[in-house]
Amino acid sequence: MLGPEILKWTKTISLSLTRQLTYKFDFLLTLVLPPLVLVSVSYALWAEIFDREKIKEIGGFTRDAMLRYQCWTFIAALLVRGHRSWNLSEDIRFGRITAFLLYPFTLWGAYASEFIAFQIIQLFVVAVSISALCLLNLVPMIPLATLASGLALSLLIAALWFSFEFLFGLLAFWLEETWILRYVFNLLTITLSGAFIPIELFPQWLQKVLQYTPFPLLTSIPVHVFLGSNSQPTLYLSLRVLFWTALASLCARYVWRRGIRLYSASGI
Amino acid sequence: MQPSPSADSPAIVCDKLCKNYTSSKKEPGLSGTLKAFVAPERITVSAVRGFDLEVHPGEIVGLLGPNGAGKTTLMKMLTGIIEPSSGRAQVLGYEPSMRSRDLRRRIALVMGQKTQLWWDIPAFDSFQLLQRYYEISDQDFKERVDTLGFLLGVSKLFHVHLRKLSLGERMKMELMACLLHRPQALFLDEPTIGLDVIAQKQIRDFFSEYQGVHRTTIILTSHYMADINALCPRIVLVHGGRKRFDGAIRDFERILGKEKFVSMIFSKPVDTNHQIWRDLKPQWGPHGLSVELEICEESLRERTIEILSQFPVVDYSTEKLPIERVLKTLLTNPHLLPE
Repeated sequence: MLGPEILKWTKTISLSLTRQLTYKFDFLLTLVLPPLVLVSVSYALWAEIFDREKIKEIGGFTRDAMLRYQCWTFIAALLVRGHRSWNLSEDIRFGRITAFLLYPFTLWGAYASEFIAFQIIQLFVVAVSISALCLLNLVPMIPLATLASGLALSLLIAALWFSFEFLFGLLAFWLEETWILRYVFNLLTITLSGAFIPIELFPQWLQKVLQYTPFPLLTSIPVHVFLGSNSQPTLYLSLRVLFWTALASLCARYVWRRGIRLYSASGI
Repeated sequence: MQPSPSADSPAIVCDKLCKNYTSSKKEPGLSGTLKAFVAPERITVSAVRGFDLEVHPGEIVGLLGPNGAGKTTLMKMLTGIIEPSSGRAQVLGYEPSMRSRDLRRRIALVMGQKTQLWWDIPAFDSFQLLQRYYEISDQDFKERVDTLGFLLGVSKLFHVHLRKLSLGERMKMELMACLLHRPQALFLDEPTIGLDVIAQKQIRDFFSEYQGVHRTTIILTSHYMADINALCPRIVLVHGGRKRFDGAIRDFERILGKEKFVSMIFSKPVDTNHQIWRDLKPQWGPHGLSVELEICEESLRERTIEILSQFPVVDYSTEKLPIERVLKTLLTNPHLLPE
């Protein structure tokens, strides 16, 4: 017999799954298309750089290694950074969080359930994507243990991504528009996480600075785990993820407590 | 966990409740935008001011007032959606702004202008989710869904996507969703807004029956006086964020004095400038063929005889002053309201 709290979560997750699959075409389009476009551009660009300049190696990456790296960034983008809870800002601005101030369930719980439902669907999308990449011979088959380790770490990092998104979404209690924050954060993430240019090609000083930020966790590290070229122990990486997740969650808690005092439930 | 109040203690209490909203002022045009960006001018508006109220368990209270009077702000404070700027609110022994889960299990808010159900799934899926949130047993859930669905006549629509339902059908689903957990206190904010007269009456009849059985404490706001007349023995008038009247509906009608509302129909047009009409606040129909008058109860007989003897009256009726008319007069002449 499941406890009432577990039942609330499982029901919210299953309902979120139903809702996300309601608009199947839109859903797949917004889910797969943006990372696919980005990785196709970077894949083609790197292939061109290597072919035109007849370069054998850049920063320790051969042509094949670089292209494999780009393919795995697609998987990381889907699994780690695929979720978008920016609608929290809109929900706050238009008074749509009201229902969760009335129901005996938390707003965070509702968004977290929606995130979990999204990740469940995303696991299927990733499974299909990895199979397609292998079938197209764009990446070689990798050991099952490496794949499992990469997926597990990516899911953990996705929780960190969700915490950041939730935190930024809550800023709508103060800000009329949060899209500029979203834009800047996404730009910084794509640039500094190694989604386009591997971090190994950055200047040494910047690589050192980035080690103290969560950015490498958002692309570079999970990609290296998939590639089998990660030198850091998984436990250490997991602790790093948990540290940043805990920090973002504490900040979100503080911001929520301050922000909810300003909530006016406009539109009602 | 706080205990629920005893039967004789108030279910809802407001003690000098205030809510101020602060926003920035922006003048029109680009220069206004730049000015607001560089040196924003903050303005504070008092939506609710020093509001006192006591509602006893099982009571139905109608909140009346024009748009912007502060009715919805009060509802938001009483349900814990927003926090008061000062003063104290208590609902079923709990402070709503603490948003305790125990209180949330005991109250419900129906908003006529805003759906709380999920738009893109059938209502029944939402009900099942609410069953989990409110920890309703399977047996109770089935019984309540069946009963409410039957009473509201929407059982056949449970599995239709909410977005495909009509406004009236959606509102009935909202009502069902809010009543599944049998709330002890129910806040109804314009539950019949935008509905046709038949749907309005169905919802009024439903609440009348529901409240008779469950003795739920209800606060209702509505611009339709038929809702207030049918459901609320007690009304509270809110104007400018302040309480301006609190009492029985019959006493509300007497604020303007003991006046009767007399309608007359004439066989031919009459002189609308005749001095007989002077003190009777006449409201003329087209071509002077009908009139509605307000006549003091004490002089009703002699004034009526006087008119009947001088004018070709073919039909007339007398009734107490309609609440719409009382409200309209008071809102356009707020100085008539008791301080």
